[in-house]
Amino acid sequence: MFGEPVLSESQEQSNRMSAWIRVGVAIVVTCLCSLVIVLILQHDKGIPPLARLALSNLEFTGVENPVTAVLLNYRSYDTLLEIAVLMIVAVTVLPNFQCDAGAAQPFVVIDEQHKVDPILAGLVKWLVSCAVISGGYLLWTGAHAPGGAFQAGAVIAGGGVALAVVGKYRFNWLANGVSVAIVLGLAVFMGVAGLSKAMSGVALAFPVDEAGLLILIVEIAATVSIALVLLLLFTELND
Amino acid sequence: MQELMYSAGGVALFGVGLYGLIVAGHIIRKLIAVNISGIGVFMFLLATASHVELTDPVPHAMVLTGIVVAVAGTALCLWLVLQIHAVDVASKELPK
Repeated sequence: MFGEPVLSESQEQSNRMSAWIRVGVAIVVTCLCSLVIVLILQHDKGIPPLARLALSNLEFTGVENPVTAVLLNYRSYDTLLEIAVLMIVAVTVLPNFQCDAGAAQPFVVIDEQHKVDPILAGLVKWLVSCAVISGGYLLWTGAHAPGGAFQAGAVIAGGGVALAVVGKYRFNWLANGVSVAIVLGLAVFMGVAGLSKAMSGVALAFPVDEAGLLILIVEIAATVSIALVLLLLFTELND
Repeated sequence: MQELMYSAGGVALFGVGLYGLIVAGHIIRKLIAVNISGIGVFMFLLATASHVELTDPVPHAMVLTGIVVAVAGTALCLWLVLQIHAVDVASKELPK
């Protein structure tokens, strides 16, 4: 049913689907989408019971922002597994650990030979500082307003990307401690899961009084990991 | 009314992505199509989360983590495509 995946433009031209099949696919897809839209129109727009439950139990979650409460309290299993997915991607993309050559070098290697436009160099310094500060702010504000580990991680990774595209700076993913920082989010999350199991008898069921602190610890560790993984993906695919 | 429009827009984006996935031949085009479908799903989820008196936080949390995981998934796919390409180039250079 699907067009055969190819890697080059010329191959794509040669085994292109015939126009009739493409028109047929377009008609089928349009019919499917129209059906879904009709179903949405008929759907009763009442408030789902889950939303009411999530909002009415907010005082027991340790945070004031309902989205953070869903992410890290009600459905923290999902978030734990999503961070695990990020770890799997990171392990796949990470450069080969067998060579120890990079271990002695620092995380950010500065290429002194590389000439950078002074305006660009100044701008990047500002951009990176702003990204790190706004990341920290987003992380902190996640407890009561939109924000949290995922947004903070993405913003900090954006700062790293700005640093990487200048050309003068190179990230050394084999440096000491970087791999520890990458798995920090998952490790701390699992540690907190074990701790909550010991405290309340159920893994990831945070006790009401300590929930805010536990969520903050998980968020800080997750931010570090998410930022590093996103930056790793960018730099490794860019080489 | 407005959120219905956004829901329909999300469904339409999903449809565009699905068509692209089926019809496109180039592997990168397929990957872009999957991403467009995914964005359509996110848009649909966010639009359905809005209600007159309150906003449902559950779909918001799903989309929030979904975006980061989708980026990671795309990066993994791109990395795999690069590896396939490298093998492809190497196999063509071998004497037959």
